[in-house]
Amino acid sequence: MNADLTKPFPWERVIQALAYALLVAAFIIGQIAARTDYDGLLKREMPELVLSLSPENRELPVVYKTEEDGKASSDVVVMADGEGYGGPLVVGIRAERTDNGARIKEIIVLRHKETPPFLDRLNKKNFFRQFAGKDVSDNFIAGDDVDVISGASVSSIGFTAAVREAVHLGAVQHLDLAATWQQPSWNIGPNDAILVILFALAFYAAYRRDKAAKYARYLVMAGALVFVGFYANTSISLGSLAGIVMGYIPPLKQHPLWWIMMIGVLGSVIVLGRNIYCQFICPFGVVQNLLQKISGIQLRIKPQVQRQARTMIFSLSWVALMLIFLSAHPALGSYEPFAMMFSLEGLGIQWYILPAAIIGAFFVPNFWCRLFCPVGLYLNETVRLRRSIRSRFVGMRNREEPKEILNDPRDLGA
Amino acid sequence: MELFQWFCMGILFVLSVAALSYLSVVVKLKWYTLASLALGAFLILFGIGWAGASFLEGIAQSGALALILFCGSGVVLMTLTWRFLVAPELSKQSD
Repeated sequence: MNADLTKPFPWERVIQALAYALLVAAFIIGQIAARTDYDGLLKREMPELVLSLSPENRELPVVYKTEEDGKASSDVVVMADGEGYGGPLVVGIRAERTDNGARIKEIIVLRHKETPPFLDRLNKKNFFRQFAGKDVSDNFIAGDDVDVISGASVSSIGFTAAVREAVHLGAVQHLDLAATWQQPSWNIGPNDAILVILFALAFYAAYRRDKAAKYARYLVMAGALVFVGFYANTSISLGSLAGIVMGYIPPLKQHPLWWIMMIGVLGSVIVLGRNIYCQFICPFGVVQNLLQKISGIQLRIKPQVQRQARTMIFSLSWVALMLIFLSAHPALGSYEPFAMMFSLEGLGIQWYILPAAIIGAFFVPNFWCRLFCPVGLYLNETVRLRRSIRSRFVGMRNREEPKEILNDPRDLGA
Repeated sequence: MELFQWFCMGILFVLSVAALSYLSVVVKLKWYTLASLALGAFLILFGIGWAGASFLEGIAQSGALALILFCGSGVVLMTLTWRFLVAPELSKQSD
């Protein structure tokens, strides 16, 4: 057997394979570690109680009977899960029996995947205290008999849903109460309509070349900045994409805005082969364009620097994904400053990145997109992959040769 | 570290004063052009000072916002002044 010694050893491929293998391993380890010891959690939060699992419910939501000072107590503790903005959350609800049923005494957050500032906001605004004293047969509908905290509305809705499911189940199974409460209706409102309109305008602007398309483009950019950025703050981050991989998908009924955004973004990439998000919908991109218009300074980045930047983004996002998968917490690894730019709520390192990104955009067009953005890179890579597959299977090699993509929204948008 | 920061600030201050003085000699500028350039330089220095102190104290949020609000405004002010007030004067003189 003669080995071809003139061929260089494919180090790049080996490193790539190792990187992917480590990501898969981190995902598996994270999922195993994320299995929470619910009994332990509850006992830590309520050490004064002796809890015994009710035989009726051994899967979430589970009900515990309580003992205090060796005597059976009239209190019950129900544990339930829901879907927040970042992923699944688990709450413990302590309730006391009354003559007509039961009342909630306190709500304890046992596990969550929310971005810490969102949970801090809920705590600061006394979101959880409003449940104390509520009857278990109340409706528990966010925006109706439960106040939604602005700036953390998705988390508010998620926690409310978890509490509702838990107390209503307890009311039916343990108190034999009839279900007199209302079921929550679809949470579709003007916000969802605005996002659909924005996507429709973005598609129009992307596929037409007339004057109306130009105005549509301006409208979408203004809408993206005001609505997607400042109002709804629903920019896509690496955490959002990693959340999908981990199966953290909010129910359509509870959070339709998330679904519209993801269908619009991923649909345009997979079905149409265009990265509509980076080109039109990303509010941070609009901010960068505005800064460019003001400064008029367009420092050029050499292509080789941008190629190196591509490797750097892969490395940065690999580290971020490892953190996300190991912790099973999408918010912990995201380093993009999008959310904090528009809500001024962020985690440590993001505060150092934001000013650099803003001031860089003043001098270099699409500074963040071209040098640091993992979302843009992965969306563009998906477009490239789609084109490659299409050329291979549909026989369009001559028409659509996949080109090298340098993570600039203009590369795959037009 | 704090001393080093203030030392750098001092150097930056002297450099900005020297640059403005040189500019006022090289090109004839109106008083408001010089004033807005000086204000821009002051905002940038103020932002750097604020941000440096905040980062050293470990309050990253305050530092980041200072960089964006003060330094950002300073950079915008200086750039616009340069584009619309200084650059036309310079091109006039070269003609």
